[in-house]
Amino acid sequence: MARPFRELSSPRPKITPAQIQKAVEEVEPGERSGMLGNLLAFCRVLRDLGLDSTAGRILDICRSLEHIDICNRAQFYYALRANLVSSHEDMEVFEQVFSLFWRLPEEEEAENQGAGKKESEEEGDECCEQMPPKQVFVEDNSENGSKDEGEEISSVAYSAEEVLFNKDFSIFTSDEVTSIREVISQIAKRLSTRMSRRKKADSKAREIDLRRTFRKNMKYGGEIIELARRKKRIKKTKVILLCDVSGSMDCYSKFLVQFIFGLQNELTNVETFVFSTSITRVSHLLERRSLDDALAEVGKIVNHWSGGTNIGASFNVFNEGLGKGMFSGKTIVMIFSDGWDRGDTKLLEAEMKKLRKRAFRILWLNPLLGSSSYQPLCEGIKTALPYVDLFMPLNNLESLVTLGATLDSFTR
Amino acid sequence: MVFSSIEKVQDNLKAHRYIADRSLATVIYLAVSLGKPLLLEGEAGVGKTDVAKVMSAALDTRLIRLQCYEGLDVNTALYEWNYPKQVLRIRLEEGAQRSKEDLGNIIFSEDYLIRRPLLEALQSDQDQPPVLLIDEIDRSDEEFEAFLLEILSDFQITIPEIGTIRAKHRPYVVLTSNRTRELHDALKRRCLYHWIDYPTFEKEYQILVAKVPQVREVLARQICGFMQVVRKMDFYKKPGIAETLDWASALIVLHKDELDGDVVQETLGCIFKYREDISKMEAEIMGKKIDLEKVLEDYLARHFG
Repeated sequence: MARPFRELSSPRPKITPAQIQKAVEEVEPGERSGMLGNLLAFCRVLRDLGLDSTAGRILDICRSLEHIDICNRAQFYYALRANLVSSHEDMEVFEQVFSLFWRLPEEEEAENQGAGKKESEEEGDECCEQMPPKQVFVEDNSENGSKDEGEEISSVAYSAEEVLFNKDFSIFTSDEVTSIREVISQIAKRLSTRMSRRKKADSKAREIDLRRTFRKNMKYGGEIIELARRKKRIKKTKVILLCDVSGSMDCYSKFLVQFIFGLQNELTNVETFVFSTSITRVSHLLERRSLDDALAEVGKIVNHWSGGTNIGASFNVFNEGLGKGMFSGKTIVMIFSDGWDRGDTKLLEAEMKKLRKRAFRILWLNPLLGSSSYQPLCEGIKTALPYVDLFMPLNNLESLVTLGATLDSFTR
Repeated sequence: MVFSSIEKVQDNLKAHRYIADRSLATVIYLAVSLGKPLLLEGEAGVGKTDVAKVMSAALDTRLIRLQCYEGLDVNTALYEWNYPKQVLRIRLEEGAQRSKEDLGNIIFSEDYLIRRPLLEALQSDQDQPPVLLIDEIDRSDEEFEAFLLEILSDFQITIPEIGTIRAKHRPYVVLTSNRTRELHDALKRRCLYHWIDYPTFEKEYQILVAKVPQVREVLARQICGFMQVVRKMDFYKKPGIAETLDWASALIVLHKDELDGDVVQETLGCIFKYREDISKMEAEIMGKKIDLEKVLEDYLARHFG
């Protein structure tokens, strides 16, 4: 029962009371004229907080209100809730917004008089809570910093500037290659051969499809001459691989390249993108016979290899452009990144939200997770984690095997 | 009209021995008056399916139930042609002088159609629209969910050989989900939503007395108090109301008028459905980690003075 990864949980991170307060306070008094104006403003606040209050729902609320006693606060509350909330997690947010928004005038007054000082104190506290935690990573001083501190540090540091250069892959050699390829092909097989409960027609299958047999033989006057057969369909899982190739990932790039190349070649349904400060689709470049050819090609085209990191902006380009139309019902998104991010966390969060909506599963494979002392403290990971179904290490062969085993139960 | 106000909904459900709180009653009332499907979510055993059953009883109309599972398809949910019957008819007609067109019209008429739950709900001839229960929608796959969207928005379907069938009355639709997966937003948007939580002590007591009238007052209170405590603890599968009712019935059969450590231990199988949970609870009772008597006394004292 205990799973090695995060449970499938609420896709939305917790909204703090402060956020709700702010959202409600931001409503212009002019907007709140009459019942309809108030209602629209209320719905807009909820939409800003991530609830799904569409125009259709607002119309339904208006229809609902005809049937209830609007002066009865409880009825009004339940009617709005039934229409606007569609998951248990949203109920709390709804309730808080409702109680703040639909306040009686006297309540508001009392609050304003009594709680002047208290409020400011509270605000102070919340500010503290909201403060991003002190950054725990080492700032990149690579120019004057001593090199002998080793790879550990440089691997967890930002590259301060985008380094644009063509990386030379030609000297790539590794003993691990064969075993990595083996494990990857096992993973690929697992992903591409899930049995569906739905069946499809197949003349060579064993099972007879009675429904189609009768239908087919109607033309012979009901004489059964041809048999129709069927078998279980194979569900093909689509995989979208988003790989971080920024400087902080450099020491994993050998492995990464193997991983991408292996998956791309074993699975028919895979799209690969590499990102650092921008994002590039490389799937078509990897469809070469040999790894060397593919790498040469990638090296030529991807000019942001070993650059800085801006995950949010990269994902934005992916969501709004490159990735459009790439999602089907059961698409798994694998993000291979350490999560060190220089970009805007707000943007990253918004993009993760979009990704969450479209992907069947999101896996975050983190090479740093392999070290036992690692905790997901850096902003990038912290922002993204609530939207991720599975957060796993991927830094060596062993973790790759674990990934394969986990995927099996996970992609169902 | 039976469900013409929120109070009436509540009273009518109560008359059929379903205790609904105000929020649920409001949602049911709105679903009936707006003709919108009602999506109920909640833990297992809190009475989601019962809402549909009791609605059909209160409205005095048919309950049509569609149990969802992975791979559920149009042929089992909507309609299917009765092929063997069609073949037989063709055979019978072999000697007769009937044109092929006529024969085609005969074997593709409604007599040869097997109605599955969804079609049945659309075609119901009763004066009152039926209650259509789509149970455990989270178990079906996305393909079926998408198909359901179409039906729930238009309440009509097209059968190529016959034409479009439109619902005479919109059925009252109740969907339930155990949340093994998130439902699609588009489906949620078409429904009124309600989350059924574990009941409070008072509500559970009312339900217990309504459903198992033989239960003595003291025992009923003890059972409900015990359940409140158990649900605050950490189990793999917490007991729902269904378990409470089972347990109460079992205790009555065993002629127990009061709870004590031994009785609880003997009947744990009614409350928990996983071996791990049972052994955990046993350990708690044995190790006196929870002092059963004190728990029960506390509860009674707090709620009944």
